Amino acid sequence: MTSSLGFGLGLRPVHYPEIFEGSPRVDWFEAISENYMVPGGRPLHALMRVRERWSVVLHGVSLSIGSTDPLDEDYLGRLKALADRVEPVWISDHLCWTGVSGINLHDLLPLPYTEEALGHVVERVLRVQERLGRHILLENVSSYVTFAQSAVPEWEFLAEVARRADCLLLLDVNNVYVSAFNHEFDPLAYLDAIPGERVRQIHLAGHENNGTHIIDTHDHPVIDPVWSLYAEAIRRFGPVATMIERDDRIPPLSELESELDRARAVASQALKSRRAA
Amino acid sequence: MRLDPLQRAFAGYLLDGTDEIRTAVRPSSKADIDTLLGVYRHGYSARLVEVLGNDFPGVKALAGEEEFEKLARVYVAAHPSHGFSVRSFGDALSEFLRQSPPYSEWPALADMAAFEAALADAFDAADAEPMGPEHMASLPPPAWPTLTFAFHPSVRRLGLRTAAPAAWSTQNAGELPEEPATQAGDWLVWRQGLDVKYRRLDPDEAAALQAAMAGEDFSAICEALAEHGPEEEAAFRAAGLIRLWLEAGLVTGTSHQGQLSG
Ligand SMILES: [Fe+2]
Repeated sequence: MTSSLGFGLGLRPVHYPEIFEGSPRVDWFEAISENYMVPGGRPLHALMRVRERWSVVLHGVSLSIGSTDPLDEDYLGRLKALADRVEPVWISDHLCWTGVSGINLHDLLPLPYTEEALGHVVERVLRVQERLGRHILLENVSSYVTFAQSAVPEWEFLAEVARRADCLLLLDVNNVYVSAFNHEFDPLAYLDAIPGERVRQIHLAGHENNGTHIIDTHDHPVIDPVWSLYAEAIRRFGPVATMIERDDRIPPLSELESELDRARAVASQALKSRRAA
Repeated sequence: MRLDPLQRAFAGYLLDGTDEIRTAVRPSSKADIDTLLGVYRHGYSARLVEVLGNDFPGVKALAGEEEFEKLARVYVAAHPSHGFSVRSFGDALSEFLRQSPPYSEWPALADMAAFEAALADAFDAADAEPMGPEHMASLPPPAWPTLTFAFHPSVRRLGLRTAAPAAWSTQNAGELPEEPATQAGDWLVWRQGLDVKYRRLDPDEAAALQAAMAGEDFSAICEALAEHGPEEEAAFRAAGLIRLWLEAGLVTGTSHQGQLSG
């Protein structure tokens, strides 16, 4: 297995001053691809400045790998151009669809886990990897509905996509927790089904619990049960590059550095018990 | 349902409230189908309303929270997104506000939206190396009559009916803006280095810039200026404006007839 990047954060423009003027205890940054797929100006300038000091990975939200619309060649061309410039360690997006009929719904929408969807996604992942000249990472999303015709659970579908398309995985531990709560499955069964050798990155985040369902809001600190699930993931998959996503009510960088310290502590504890096991 | 009709039914539910998708969805033991689907429905419009609020803080400040939320929801319903990024979602907001009652009665709103869209465009327009004012001295006198200009990709000239940019700067300073005065005029928005700038254009400069940005040459720029002031001073005024444009980093190249190379 390739050596881990360590512990990173999602790159957010409100943190630029703290990033450029300080020395944050952050090993790497994840940039949202679409935010930098612009002609020029400050966004790209800032990203290249981050790139001078840190490893960067690109994380997309608009690949729409599961959509029945044709793959967006213009989007892929721009993503490739950004990757050529930034030289990210890897590129990821989500196992979902984000629009249809030429309309972008700007949400990570769930797929039915059918043979038809599996074949469709696999074929598209292969084409995207060909176009980008590299393996991509696919991330599991939080979802609020399941479809009646789903023939297999999400984890089997995800694992099968990864095997057939020979792609890598970004495991969002919070999303596993959220979907497990919403759809009433055992999150450990999910982790057990994941092909560990393909997991290159882990996302951690906070969410909003409405009692009957959890909404993945990325506006709170990571909760204790998600930390426990993270420990279980590290025990299974080893020292995987881990980062915290925060998209709303973004606190000062120092607060996220402390949360990242907790991730380091949880991971190192979990690795000890992994070696002991 | 196969994948394609399922996605169309889901999109139809989010965009138009059609309920075909309900038959494809399973409830959980804790929540019914409408609660679960409602998370997506609510999230869809809330997310795009939030995008507009972030991208158009001036429009939001003028309209007020409540009125803004209302107009944003109408816009979201009328203008589904076609771009890969939310960055372009509000591109048609100014046109929408200009044309749709009751907002069409309130010209400052459409002006503010146009101004904020221009600021956003200038912010991440393509990079290009501007020429400095010293370039003027390097031009041989016979070059001047046919001299044309290439402008930085960020440069925008926009005509407004109100003093919306003044209200924008009040809002940007964290204060509540007053209703912009009715005051027709042209504005220049551009980026110098990484910083977005704007200023009001006098009518003669606006005419000269319009001509220059349309690719017309120095002689034509002088003609445009002659309509706003004494003809004999037009060439002098034109040269002064060009110096100003060069100093502000608006110009990235010039060319003229008989030129061998750039
Ligand atoms: Fe995530």
